[in-house]
Amino acid sequence: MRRLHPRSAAVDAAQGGLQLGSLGLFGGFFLANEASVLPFSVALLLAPLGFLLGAGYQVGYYYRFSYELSEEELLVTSGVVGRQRREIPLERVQNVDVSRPALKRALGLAVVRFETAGGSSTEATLDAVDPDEADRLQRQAGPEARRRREGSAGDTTDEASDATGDGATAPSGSGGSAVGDAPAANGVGDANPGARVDDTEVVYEISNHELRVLSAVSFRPGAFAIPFVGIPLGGEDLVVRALQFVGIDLRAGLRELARLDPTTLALGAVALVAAYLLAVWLVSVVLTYLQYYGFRLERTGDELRYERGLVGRYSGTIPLGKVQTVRLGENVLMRQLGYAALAVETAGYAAGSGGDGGSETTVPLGVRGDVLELARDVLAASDDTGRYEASEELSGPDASDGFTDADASDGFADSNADEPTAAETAPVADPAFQQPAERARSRYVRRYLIGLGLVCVGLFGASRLTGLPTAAAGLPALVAPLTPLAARLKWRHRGYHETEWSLVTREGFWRRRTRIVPVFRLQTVLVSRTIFQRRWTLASVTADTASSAGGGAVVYDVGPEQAEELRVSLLDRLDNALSERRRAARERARRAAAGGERVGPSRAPAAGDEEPGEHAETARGDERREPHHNGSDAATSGEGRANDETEFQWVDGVDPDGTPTNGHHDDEG
Amino acid sequence: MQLQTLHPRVRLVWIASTLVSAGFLAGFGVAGDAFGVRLPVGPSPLVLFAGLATLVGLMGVVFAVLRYRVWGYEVRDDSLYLVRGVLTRRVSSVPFVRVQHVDTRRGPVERAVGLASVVVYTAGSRGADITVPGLTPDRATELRERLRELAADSDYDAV
Repeated sequence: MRRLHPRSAAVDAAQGGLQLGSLGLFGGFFLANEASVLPFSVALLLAPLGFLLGAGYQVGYYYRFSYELSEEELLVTSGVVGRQRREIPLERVQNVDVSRPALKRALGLAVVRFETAGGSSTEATLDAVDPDEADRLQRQAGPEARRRREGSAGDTTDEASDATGDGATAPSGSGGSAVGDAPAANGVGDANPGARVDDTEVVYEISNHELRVLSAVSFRPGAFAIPFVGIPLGGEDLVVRALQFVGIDLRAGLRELARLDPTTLALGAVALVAAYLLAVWLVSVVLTYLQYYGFRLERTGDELRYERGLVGRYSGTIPLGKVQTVRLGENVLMRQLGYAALAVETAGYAAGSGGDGGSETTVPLGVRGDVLELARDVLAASDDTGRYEASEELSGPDASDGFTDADASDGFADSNADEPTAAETAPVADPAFQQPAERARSRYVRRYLIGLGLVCVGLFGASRLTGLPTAAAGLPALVAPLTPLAARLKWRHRGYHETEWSLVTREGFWRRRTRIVPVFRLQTVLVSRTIFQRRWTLASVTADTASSAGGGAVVYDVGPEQAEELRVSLLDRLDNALSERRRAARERARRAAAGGERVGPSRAPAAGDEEPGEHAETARGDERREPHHNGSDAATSGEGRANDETEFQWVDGVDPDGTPTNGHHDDEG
Repeated sequence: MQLQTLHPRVRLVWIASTLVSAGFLAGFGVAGDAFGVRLPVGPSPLVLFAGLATLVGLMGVVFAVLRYRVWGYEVRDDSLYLVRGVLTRRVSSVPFVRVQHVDTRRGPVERAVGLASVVVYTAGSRGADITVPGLTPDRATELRERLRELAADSDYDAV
């Protein structure tokens, strides 16, 4: 069993001691002076007592906390008063994040977080260990453990590597080939289970130029609040001066504003908005620069690992076999410049909690063609049956008539640089999108107009109460002619595309997001029709996965019949995909058995080998955790879980009777 | 199998839950009146909140009736099919493969009117738990067992 880093214990002890010590100090003064229940001499003792208690608790925590990473699981025992012992099977681990915020980094410490699917928080946090140890944990819990599982299941050459035609073109190849070949190449397998994985390859590294572009073009939602924080810190003065510049004296009071002529007022408003946006942008630039400085992404076998950060360093792993959704993000500026960002979503719950949600970002900014290429590699590696490649070959010819952003009839099309790249590379994220129904556009226009109307009414009310000129209430109406344009843009950037293997959806003009959802990852399919959509006979289809990034892929505003068809076909394809995966897994198991290999029944190499954290832990003592979505009384939930545990053994693919459920549905409600 | 409707008494459960919020609103009004709070314009707090409470209560009744009319579920070959929602009509399919576990649940009001709910958990990110309310306890147990068996039959990666 290993302990955390002693230096971290010392820091924690000092911190804990100071906390309780200061509490004791102030509490003591209060009790002696204000409440006069204690003699002053006794009260004086409270501060050192508090310090000792606080520091002692932390020291005790340090001595009671131990962890051990074995070949199959991570074991963590902790707790000073209530003891807790948690075992996390490594095959259930989704991400392993290592974060070194500025202070920890200065002290030479690193925090390691293990994420599993489900559970309301990070499954295990080691705060903090030596950076080298963090690195070892990350490697051993990830690629090396997976390698061993592959090895113990027999050295099967994956069908994926046979089916992959592009294995030669892409240096990393498909996951299948990388996983299949590597053990043989390294001469490891069950013979040498502790072998290190050395075939690491850098997939992407941010260049200085890209980092600057990224900082300039990304608007972080968080930055919008920050200028307000600056107002009490002298920003107020700046605002007043800026307004004085255009001839508005704020100090004269709000009533005075009513006497000013509209042009001055409008100028003032514009100046304010411009100053605010500039501040937001500057904050955004700095934050983005700090966050993504030195970003690099490497691939080790079937795992991606990123590293980033200027002040604090953060890294995290993304096992390719656990990919739920791949998301391409491009804001307006990125589209103009021919860049795109890539996010790979897994089911690890709190992934990114260490940084600022950055952990799911796989590539913050890259040349669009390269990003698409990487997306394709990731998708290919996420399905070890090789079905992705097969489906791509089928849909390949569509590449040429892929999405063309510059629709000639439309003057404001982004005549962007992505067309040539899209034509060159595979149409991962640029298939022929099917747009929402034509009438949805009228719906958006109406929606914007109603929104503007409401703003006008609000302003009118405000003008009655504050003395703003009534004419100001009419200002939003000036934007009204732009609503058809806005509606058209919204409409044009929404769309979906179905392939046998995946559902691709796209939305958003300002920040366009293209989601590629492998059909075999679907959890539920939902057709929803709001009261407004029903007026226009429209419906939206949500394809939900276990991705923790939330926001499943949504197909917006299609006709109800089309929505229903989509729902049925998604379920059908899910069924087909699963039975095919089951067949592939059985095949592998049989081959392994024929090869005289030992196959652990609970460790068969499953593709979708994860489940929620409630099974991934054995918690004892009074800190027993409840699964995240289990709010019911103990009796029923206990029963539910017991059922679950007995029925779901994850003996993936070694189903003896071998009857795959067939893709049959009745769907008339 | 036909689209199954809920037990009619489920409306009472829904109405009861809105009556609780209506009760809170009325409570605010009474409290405000007791402390002599007066708004600068408009009616006295008692009248205002009594009106709001009545409105909420009435809406609750109307919605309960409408919701009952819309609600339906069906256990199909390979998925659980549900139709629900008054303002937003939602049709969802939960493939049995994806069912993590199934609970039956009986809240105090449900017990009072002799009903139970079945909660189906998936690993999905939105709507990970789906509740089928308004079942008699026997029917709830039956549905739970049925779903459990179906989910177990199709045991394969649930995530």
